[in-house]
Amino acid sequence: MLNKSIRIIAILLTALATCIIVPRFFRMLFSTHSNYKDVVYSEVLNDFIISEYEYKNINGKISGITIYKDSKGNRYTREQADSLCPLNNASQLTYDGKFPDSICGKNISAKDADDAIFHMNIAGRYNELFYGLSELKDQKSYLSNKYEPKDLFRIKENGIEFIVSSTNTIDEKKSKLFNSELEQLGFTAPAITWWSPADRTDFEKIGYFVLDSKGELFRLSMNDGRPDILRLNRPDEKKIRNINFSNRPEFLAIIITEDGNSYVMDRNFNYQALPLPSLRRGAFLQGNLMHLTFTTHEKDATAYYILDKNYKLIKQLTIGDKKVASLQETIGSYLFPVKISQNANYGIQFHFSNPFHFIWLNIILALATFFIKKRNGYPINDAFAIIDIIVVLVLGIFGMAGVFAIPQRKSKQI
Amino acid sequence: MIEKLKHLIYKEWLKTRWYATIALLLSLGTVIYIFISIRSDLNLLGAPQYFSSLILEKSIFFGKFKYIPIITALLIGLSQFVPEVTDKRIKLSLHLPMENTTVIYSMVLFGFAIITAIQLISVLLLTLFMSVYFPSEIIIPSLQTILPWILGGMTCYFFIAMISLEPIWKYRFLYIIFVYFVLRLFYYSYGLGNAVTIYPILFIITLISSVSVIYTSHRFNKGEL
Repeated sequence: MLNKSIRIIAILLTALATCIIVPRFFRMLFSTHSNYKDVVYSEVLNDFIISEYEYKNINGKISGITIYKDSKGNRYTREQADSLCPLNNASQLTYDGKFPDSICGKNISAKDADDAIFHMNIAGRYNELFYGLSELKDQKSYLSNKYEPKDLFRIKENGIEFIVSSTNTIDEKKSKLFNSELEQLGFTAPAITWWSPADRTDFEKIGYFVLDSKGELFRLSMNDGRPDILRLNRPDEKKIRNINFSNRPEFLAIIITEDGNSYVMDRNFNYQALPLPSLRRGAFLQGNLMHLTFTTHEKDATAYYILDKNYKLIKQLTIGDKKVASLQETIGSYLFPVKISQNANYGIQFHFSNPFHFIWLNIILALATFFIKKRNGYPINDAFAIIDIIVVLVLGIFGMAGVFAIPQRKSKQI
Repeated sequence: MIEKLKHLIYKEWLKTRWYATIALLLSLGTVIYIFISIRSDLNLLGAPQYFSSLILEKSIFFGKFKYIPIITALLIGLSQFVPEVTDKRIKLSLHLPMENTTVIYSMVLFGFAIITAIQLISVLLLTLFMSVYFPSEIIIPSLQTILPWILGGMTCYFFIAMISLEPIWKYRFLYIIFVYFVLRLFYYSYGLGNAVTIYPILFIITLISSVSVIYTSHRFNKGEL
């Protein structure tokens, strides 16, 4: 009994080993092609220009080219595509001597067009790797000409605590001063989280946006050692999920609420709702002189929303991501039933393949195991033989590797 | 039975005492080096600048400690099991009037206890040093980052026991390849405090590795080829 149990342990260990090693070698067997795709809005056409790789098999050799087409399928050359999107290709068009005198009836210089281009990643949730300890820059730090943080702070159940970094002790006087100001404004400790602008100048001027335990929003800053705190309204009184700061002069931040709605906050802390679907999973923003393009990823599609500078929706496009599965993906769905990934924000995640693929393969492998063992005279009637079959049924090729790699005596008494 | 176990453990102690001492001194020396390094950086950069880089870059200031648990496991594991499998001396122990599994596991648990004690002392000292300079918001993620390394050391020790007791060299070689890939999971470049969500997988692997020696010791005992 013990001997057979030992063998099961060995089989599981071997299965563990193969499920770590085999996928690595499997990936090395295939060369993958990039599925590059980019979508840009053409203010000239009032349509989208889609650029993507197209692969062709010519005499057994795979070669790829970039193609440009609009949403109706009309194809363009690269030069034509550049001319149709002058606001996004000002540098190239200027170099080619083709930058237009006016765009959509407005006189625009190539430099203005180029300077207005920006990209911004909009995260749908705040970073879980939040240590609860930050540095607070004084608004007047530029006067000392030392661009160094003045104080470390944390906001726990007792309220805000300033830590003197050189001694690792609490600055009780400063903490009390700030706590008194926070209490007057209705702050309820501890803080859930806080955000700061990435732009250095904004960070000095604005400080942090802090969410208290009741979900109220405060701006926390320090002016010449004294608290400069403001209680801010929440967009439509909704619970805030995440704040993404920008370094653009036209808006300060994009805020995602718990229900997935999104709002743009201007530099006077006023909100305007964005006509977008739920951004709980995040989005990507590209901007130019006239438009903002929000890109969101759904399960099998990517959606593009074009907004003007007043945040009104002009156009939208959804493109399905579903393509013909590659040979590697097809074989992988049979061999590897689950992919386990780990991420600090989302923890351990399981990504399952098509169950009808790997279950059928596992059944075939289990039957094969049964017949091979029977043919070679191994015992097949006892409970441990059945466990072998179940291991193959559940773990597939990994289980089969374990069952046949670990030797088994042909006689009943081991 | 208890007397026999005491003698067995004393035998293990005689084999490993100097290596355990070296491992302990190495661990403590590394911790003291980290402490001196922190002090030096604080003096050089100034506390505000040092903390700024620590918080913004999430730098791992205790990175020198990363492979200490594995080195400890190698020192203890090899000093324990290599003499036993040289000329198959362990057969003497297995001829004692005790269950073979009890004999093997007494040895393994002794080694595990020594390694745990060394790591515990080192981590406690490191925590003490960290608490002098850092608040809990830095200490806790640091300890969360160290835990996979310690689990990796324990897993390495169990696998050393397993590999040592395997009678056939070609299987030993295969186990070494397998152990290399498994141990990599413990030593990925997880960011500061980032490894918490993978703890369940690491604990399961450590647990499975702790029983792996039963298999090879059984093969050794039965003279299986």
